[in-house]
Amino acid sequence: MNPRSVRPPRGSTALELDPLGAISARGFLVVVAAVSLLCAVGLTITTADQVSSWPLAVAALSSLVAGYAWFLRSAFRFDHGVTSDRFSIAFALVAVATVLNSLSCLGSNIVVRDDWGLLTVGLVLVAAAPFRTYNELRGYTAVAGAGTGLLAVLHGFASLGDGIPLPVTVLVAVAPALAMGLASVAYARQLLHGIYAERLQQADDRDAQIDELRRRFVDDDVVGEIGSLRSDVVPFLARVRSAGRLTAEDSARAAELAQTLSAAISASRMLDSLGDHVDLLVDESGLSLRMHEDDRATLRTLLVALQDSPHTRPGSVILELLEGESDRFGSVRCASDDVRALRADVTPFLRMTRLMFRSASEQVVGEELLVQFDIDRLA
Amino acid sequence: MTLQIATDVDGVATSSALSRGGTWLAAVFLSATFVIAALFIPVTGRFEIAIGLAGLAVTGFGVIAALRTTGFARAIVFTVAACAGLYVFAFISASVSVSEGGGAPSSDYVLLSMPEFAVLVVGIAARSLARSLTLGTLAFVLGAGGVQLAAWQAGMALAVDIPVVASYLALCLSVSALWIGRRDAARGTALMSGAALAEERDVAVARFNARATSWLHDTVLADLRALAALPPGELDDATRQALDRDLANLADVSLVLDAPGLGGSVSRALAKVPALVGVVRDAEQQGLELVVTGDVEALNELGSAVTRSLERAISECLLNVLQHSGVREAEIAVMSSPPEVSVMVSDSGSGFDVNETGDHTVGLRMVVVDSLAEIGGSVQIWSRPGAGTAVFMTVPVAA
Repeated sequence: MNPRSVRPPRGSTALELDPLGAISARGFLVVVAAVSLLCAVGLTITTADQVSSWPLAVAALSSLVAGYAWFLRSAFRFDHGVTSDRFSIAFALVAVATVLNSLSCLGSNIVVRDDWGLLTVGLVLVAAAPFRTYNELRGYTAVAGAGTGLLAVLHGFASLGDGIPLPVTVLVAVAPALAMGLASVAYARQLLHGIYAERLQQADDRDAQIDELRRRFVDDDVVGEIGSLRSDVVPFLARVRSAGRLTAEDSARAAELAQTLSAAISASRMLDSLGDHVDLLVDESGLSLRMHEDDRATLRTLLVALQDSPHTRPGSVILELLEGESDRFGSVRCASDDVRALRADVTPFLRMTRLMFRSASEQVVGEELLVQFDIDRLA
Repeated sequence: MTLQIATDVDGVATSSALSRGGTWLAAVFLSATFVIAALFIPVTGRFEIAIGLAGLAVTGFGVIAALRTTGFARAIVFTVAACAGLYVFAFISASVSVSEGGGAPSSDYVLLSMPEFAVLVVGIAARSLARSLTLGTLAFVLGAGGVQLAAWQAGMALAVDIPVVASYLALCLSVSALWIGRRDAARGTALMSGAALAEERDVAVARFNARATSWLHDTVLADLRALAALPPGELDDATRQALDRDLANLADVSLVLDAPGLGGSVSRALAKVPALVGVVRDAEQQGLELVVTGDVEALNELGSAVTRSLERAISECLLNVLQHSGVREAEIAVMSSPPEVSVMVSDSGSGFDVNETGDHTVGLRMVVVDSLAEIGGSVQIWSRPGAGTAVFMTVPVAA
């Protein structure tokens, strides 16, 4: 499916559609934060002779650190992550750092390209690309461009008197923030379209799979395999219909076939492959078969991840499903010689479990990782 | 997939997005350089700067082509072309700067740095970390190295361009972080996809099985029992028709499986409308059975603030159904009439007197009416004791 031909919902972010993308987005944010801080500290030290106010310079660095600290904290939170409000605070702190950095060398600035604030205000937008909507980023880019332009004009009048035309100074000052801001807008927009197209493609694939399964179900004559339907019942019904009359033997045969078919229908129960992924399944009330398919898929993913982890003690994965009078709940237990490493291995899937089960929680109990959850809905 | 969570399975969307982002980044830096350099033509009267600008244009085409292409060899060719264009621009710019005299800048001056930044991004969209780093390093060596060479040939003072070196290192780090994260995400994606597909398979087969056995129970088994109870003799017309129907359906079982509802749950049918997925999932988790009808995709056109308010309002309506209606079924109907979108949440439960102040109305008034009024929407509530409830919400597409 072509990403250009789809129209994703306004106001959505790629991470809302693809929560697993947070893994790479967070790593990227950490690197950008480190680069920004190194760049700020490095340029402050190497251009120390241009600093006219050290309190402002220190305040600028502090504001930058606070901005990225807040951004990182938001990104690593379990709840809604980097919301619009949270990012606006992070951006405001970085923008304040840019202004303070610029003011700290007012009157003594030699070249505007040495101002690290012009870079960091663009870098924070690059880091925000996976987290926020492209419309928001467009607004922040405009703010960053306008702000850096104004600061350049200010310096043009106050500091830079070496004959460089003011428009050139402004262009040089604005270019990094504008380049990185527009890059983040383009990235966020394209990623959202791509992920949304992927979502629709998966929906199409799912429909195709169901059609294929339906076709195979018919072709394999699964219905005919129930009891002796094809071998006995169909010929019997065809013969009786063809004869147009019923004999006493036919009635007896019909009763016999009805009994056999009834037993076969009762025996033909729902398939359940969830138990394939655990070493012990405790499910006395047959809850597994009645759970909602989304919940079963979530549990299946977690169980497969636990079985795949090299830190899982073999034979220790237990799934327990219990049904009370008014509630249903379950737990997954998994033993390990290094439970914390095991938990780190399956962290994305624990997050997924929290996303799908309203009351899911995990804890380390001795040498076991214990995941508990309520089952609110049934299929 | 079942979980309604799309994933960039093989990184195609991420690469494409990086390509688009890199294109814009390079375009801005190159455009700024182009404008500044062009300004120098009338100031200096040196028309050879136009040749430098042509080199800059080649750089732009090379960078964008390298970002867009999927072939590694082609990306290398485009990168080399971009660096060649940059060399031409750098040589002419440096020559003009040196010959104009009056405190000529050194080789790290901004007019040369900005296109160097642009060239550095050629590798970010490559489909493997090794290729990405190779292309980035090639661009750094040929681009930044070429600029230094051109400056030296033009007699310009040489200086290490610290921001360019730092940008190269930062890009290497960033690309590595992205790829490592993508690798972890890909592992999760593969597991999730496998689990979801297995679940889809189980559920679909189970539904077909349940449908088939239910049909067998209600028809063939019932008819066999009827035959067992019939006295010997001629078959009546009703029995003949029943046997004909059974035999026809057994000859083509697909007819039995065409029943509605075999495709999946409500939330799965909403792949195109993420805004409703969370609301529907929450309601389903609390035991509500939902039918969603109408032009649901119209909800994708709503602004984010409107979407949030509408989500809250729909959730409150569904909560009201759960708590007060006495039924477990509700319907969400979406109607589009630009520049507005309307959503009706209805149930056939116990209903209430809308003029009374009670538990039924407080939530609706506080959450639904007030929150929608804030974004320029409106709400109408129809309900009578014993006759169900319908909440009709209208919101503007843009707010």
